[in-house]
Order: sequence, then structure tokens, then C-alpha cells
Amino acid sequence: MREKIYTFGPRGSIVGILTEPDPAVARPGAPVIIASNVGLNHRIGPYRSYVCLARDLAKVGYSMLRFDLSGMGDSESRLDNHRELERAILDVQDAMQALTDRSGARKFVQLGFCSGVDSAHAVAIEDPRVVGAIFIEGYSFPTPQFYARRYLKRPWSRRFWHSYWLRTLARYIPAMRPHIREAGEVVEIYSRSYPTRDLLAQNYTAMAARGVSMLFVYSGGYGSDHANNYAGQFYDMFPTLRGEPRIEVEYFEKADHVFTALADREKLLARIKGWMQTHFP
Amino acid sequence: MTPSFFGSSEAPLFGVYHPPVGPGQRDVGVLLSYPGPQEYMRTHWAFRKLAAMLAKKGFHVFRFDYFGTGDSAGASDEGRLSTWRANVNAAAQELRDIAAVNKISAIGLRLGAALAATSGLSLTDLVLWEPVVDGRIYLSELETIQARQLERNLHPPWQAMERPPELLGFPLPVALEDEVRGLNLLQEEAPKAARIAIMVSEDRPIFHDLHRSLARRAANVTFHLVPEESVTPRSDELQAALLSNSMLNAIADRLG
Repeated sequence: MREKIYTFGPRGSIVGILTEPDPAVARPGAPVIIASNVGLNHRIGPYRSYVCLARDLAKVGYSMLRFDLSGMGDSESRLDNHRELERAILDVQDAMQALTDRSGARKFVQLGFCSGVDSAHAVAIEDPRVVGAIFIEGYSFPTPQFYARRYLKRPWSRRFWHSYWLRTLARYIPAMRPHIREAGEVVEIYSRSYPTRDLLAQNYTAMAARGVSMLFVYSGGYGSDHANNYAGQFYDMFPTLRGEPRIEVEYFEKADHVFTALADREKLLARIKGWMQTHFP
Repeated sequence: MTPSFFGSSEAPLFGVYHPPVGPGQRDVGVLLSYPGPQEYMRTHWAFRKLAAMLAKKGFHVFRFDYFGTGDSAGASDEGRLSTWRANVNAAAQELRDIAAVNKISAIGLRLGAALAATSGLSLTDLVLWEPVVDGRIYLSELETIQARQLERNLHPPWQAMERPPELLGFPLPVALEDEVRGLNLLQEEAPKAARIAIMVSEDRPIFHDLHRSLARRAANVTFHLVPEESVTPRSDELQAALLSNSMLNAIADRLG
């Protein structure tokens, strides 16, 4: 395994790290995985997960580029007037072009995590060089079963009652108010602009028809359970995709939104590695 | 800025060099020493900004990832304080080589401050930004945050275990834990620095203890309280980027 600095984009201002396998295990023609920032954090991924993933994948023959979108992490801003998502899409396209020009890569797997799904999705639906997509904690919509589970579970939820009583007390005791956010917060990961459910179903159907393999990963623990709470939710959101062989869905019931626990993270990385080996042998 | 790998080819470390911007280059390199893994992500942006501010003042600046952290070589469970101290020295040498400077200053945040202070480097300026003074207190603070997170997580995966094998998402091997618990700047040899500044956002007695202790053993030790968002994390703030504009300005002014 070897890692090298990968600068590209306008003025070479975008910074990434390309992890490549030893030639003895490299898989000629295999797609290169591309990942960028999760939220505002820099390119190493939550708890360094992208670094671990890149090194794990290199051991079985895959290359992976992790990079900072322009203006984030170690990358400089673009000197243009594009909007945030447009800039991100340009950055990803520049990454693919650099990998093609310098390493001869022709096929790519887009990896998006949380808000990072936005640019990964936008590029994946348009660009024929994208042959695979991994969407972790991406777009999600509540379903009737989601609501049923949520409200039926609530009376037994320690966190709900903790939050409820804190909020109630805070109405009368000002000193309690600073504690409310911590106890009752809902992480606003699903508040950004979403494509509609119908549009997403069309996008996924079109990608599958184009031959794009997709892995959707959701978690059901803290920070996610307000949006996902059962294993079959994806197909209830998108019933027309049921049975589509190019789509796989994994639900980690106990993992929190950023897979804080090492055990959860190890399972996630193993799932991705296995999916790559199955779909891009 | 110029990113690069440096150090041995078997275990390269990732670093970013910020050359001086504009006229008035100084013959001083400034080494930025990140906090420990748990607090690293939230401080990355602040370090980039601080590096840019110092570069504008004519300093050569270098920030880098310790072994087993960030983009540097090594698994996350392989980091040790002794290795990280050696990394601080290697980074200082890299800065000397890149920038051809004779003098080195260091700015360390939290655990990074303790590493810079105990690295043995001969420094012009040493800024201890909200330093970890006592490793036991530091671990206790992080463990408290972890306990809060566990309390509200409905499904802690290692709830039944006596002692979690990790701390806030990162492995905490016994060897590292022992080293951190044994860390106490009140008892360590005084840093070899011409000037030492303790810069804090929160007025805690332990920082005054450190000030008194260092003032007895070293010349030119100053204490600066810059009231602002404290670096010492609380709960989910570990995921939120630290901005600390007032502190960054105060540090840049201190060196400039």
C-alpha cells in the first residue's frame, strides 16, 4: 500500500490523498473510490474512517481518493461564483479527471456520507464514468411504519423522558435552559435541501439501468433514529426499487449517525469492502 | 500551502507547510501541535486559519499529523505519547529543512501543548493553548463526555463491558492510557523556551498552578486569559468546528 498527496483542480488548489494497493494485489481496471468531506470536517472521515477504509481497500486491490472540497479542510476556495453544491460537483469532476489523466482510471465509485451524499449523488446520476455509489446516511423519508415505531417506542425511551422533563423544568427554571440543547437536540442532518422522493426513485432507477451498483447504508441509533428506525424503511420509501439487483441496503440498528463505536465502524468498513469485492471483482 | 509526507518511508507523517506571505520573512519557523485524536477533528480548521495568520506575519509555519492520526501512517491504536513527542521533533527538523530557519517556536493545543512542552525542543516561543496539565484530569474530562453520550444512546454496543475499549470513537490502548495518566506538566522538566505563554479561554485553577510552577523554573512565563468559547470540549461539541477567533488573534499577536 502506498499513499501520495494528490493536488488537482484550479491552480492545483484541491488537496487529497490517493491510497493505492501494492502492484501485486492491484486489480487492473477496478474503479477508484472517491470520497470527500463529511459535513464541515476535513477529508479523513468521521473518526478517521476514510483513512482506515482506504487502507483496508488497498489491501484487497482497490485505490481510493479522499479529498477536501474547495474551501474546506486543506483545499483553497474556488475563485468563481458557483453555489456550494455546484462547486462540490465541479470538485468531484476535477478529481475524476485528475485520476484519469495521471493514473489512467476510467471508472469510479462515489462514496458519500451524510451531507457528502449530495455531490456524490449529483455526479453519480449524470456521469457515465461512475459505475458504483455508496450512500451512507443519505436521503431518507419517514414512512407510516417509521411513525408507528417512533411513537410506540417513545413511552419506553429514556432519552425522550429525559428531554421531556428537562424542557418542562426549563420553562420555569432559567438555569436549566443551557442544558436543553444537549438533552433534547435533534441533529439537523436532514434539514438541508432534498430531492423529492419521486425524483430520487427515478434517479436510482436510471442509475441501475445504466449499470451502476449502489449500496445504501443507514443507521438507527443516536442522531439517526429521528429519520430511520427499521430495516425495511428504504424499500418502503422507494417501493418500485424492490427486487432491483443492483441495489443493496444495509441497516445498522445500533450504530449512531457517525458510527462512533469502533465495533460499529468495523462492521461498516467490512460491509463496504465486501460489497466492492462482490460488485467489482 | 504545501502538503507533503515527511519522516521515514516506512511510517511517513503528513504535514502542511505554510510559507510566509508577502514581504518581511522572519528567521523563525512555527510548529503547530494538534491536540489528541478525540479533539483533532474540531480543531483542524482553527489550525489552518492560525497557520495562515502567522504566515501573513512572515513566519514559516508547519502543522502535521502525529503517527496513527489524521493522514499520517499508523493505525489509530498505535499512537503513543513517546512516539508523538518524537514526531514533534521530526516535524521541527522538517520545518528547519524546508524553510532554512534557525529558530523554532511551537504552539500546542491541549494534549499538543503538553507534547510540545515535553518534546525537549529548544524553542524561541512556546504557546501552551489551554494545555493538558494533568493527564488524569484530561482523561476524566473525555470519559465524562463519553458517559453522557452513552447515557443518551439507546444502544451502546459495549454497555455490558466494565471498561469501554475506546474513548470517544478512538482506541485507547492500555499503553497510551498509562502514558497519558502519567503526564503532569507540574512535575515535568521545564520546557526549553525563551518565552512561554499560557493562553486559556477558561479561568481554571489548574492553569494558574501551571503558571506558578513554570514561573519558578523558567524565565519569561506569562499567563493570558482570552475569554471565549473554551477548547475543553463538552458533549457533542467534539463534532463541531472550533473557531476561537479571539484566541487565534491573541496567539498571532503574541508571536508577532
